[in-house]
Amino acid sequence: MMEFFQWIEESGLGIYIREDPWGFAIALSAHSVGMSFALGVVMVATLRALNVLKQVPIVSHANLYTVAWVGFFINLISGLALYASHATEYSYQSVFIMKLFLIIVGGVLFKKMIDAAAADGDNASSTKLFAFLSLASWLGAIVTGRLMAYF
Amino acid sequence: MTDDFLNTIGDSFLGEMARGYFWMWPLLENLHFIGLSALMGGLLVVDLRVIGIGPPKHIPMKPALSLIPFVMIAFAINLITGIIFFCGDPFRYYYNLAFQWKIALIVLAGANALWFWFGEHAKLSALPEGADTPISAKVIAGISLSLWIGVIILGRLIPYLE
Repeated sequence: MMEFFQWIEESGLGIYIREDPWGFAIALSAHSVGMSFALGVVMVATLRALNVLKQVPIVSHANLYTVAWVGFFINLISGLALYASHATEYSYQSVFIMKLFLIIVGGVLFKKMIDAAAADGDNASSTKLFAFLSLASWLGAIVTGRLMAYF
Repeated sequence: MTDDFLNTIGDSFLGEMARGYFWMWPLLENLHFIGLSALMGGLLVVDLRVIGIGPPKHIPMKPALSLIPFVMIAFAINLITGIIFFCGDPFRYYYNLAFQWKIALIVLAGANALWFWFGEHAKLSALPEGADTPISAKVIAGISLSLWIGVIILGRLIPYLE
């Protein structure tokens, strides 16, 4: 496994992001803009389902999901670039592994919320439960991502 | 003169608090990141609806505009956490090029928001459903999104422009 991570780290992309003075900074900047798009939409949609933002009709959020996908793909690409630059380190970093797990869980739960709203209605307890759990997972992904600088 | 002022801020209660606990700085950073995501989420709905591009154009105008207080709350979270960061390390921020530009863009975004609120908000609220928005409102909304994306990028660049 370690050889594979080393191979990633020594790839052209890994070397560029790590060693170019602007490589890491540009990838990080893109990563924070993508985060604000994806997490912003997740927050508005889940907080609406939880009746915190009461005014917006929940069905309308279907129209916002493509914006969240734009943010997600910005972060998938910039995230892969950041990962490549320190693959041997990040692959064994517990907060990074937790972050990946929380992104997958948060994504699945967000889809569950959308499905529950369609099947059981906007105010169904199942919709609210999935909204709460999805929001918690995504906030956890922000926190674990930020804590990569500390652990 | 300026340095005396920065020293006073650094020695203030907020400055001591920001540096006083090992968990305080990462806690504030996390709140700042959550706040910026909430701010952008609300802005995307409002500004893309006003511009009338992308999927949010299908959201009715009044509910979209009703997210403005949510954006203000998110901004308040980041203003407060941002002030504490500044007090915790005033010399670092004050002389940092990325921070200086970031503050300039926030001031411009604030002026732009006032222009929107006093110049366009009433017109937009009164717009019949399905009607196109005035070009002036579209321009303000486009400037708003561009400035805030710039603010996020410059904030992230603070450690790299020292």
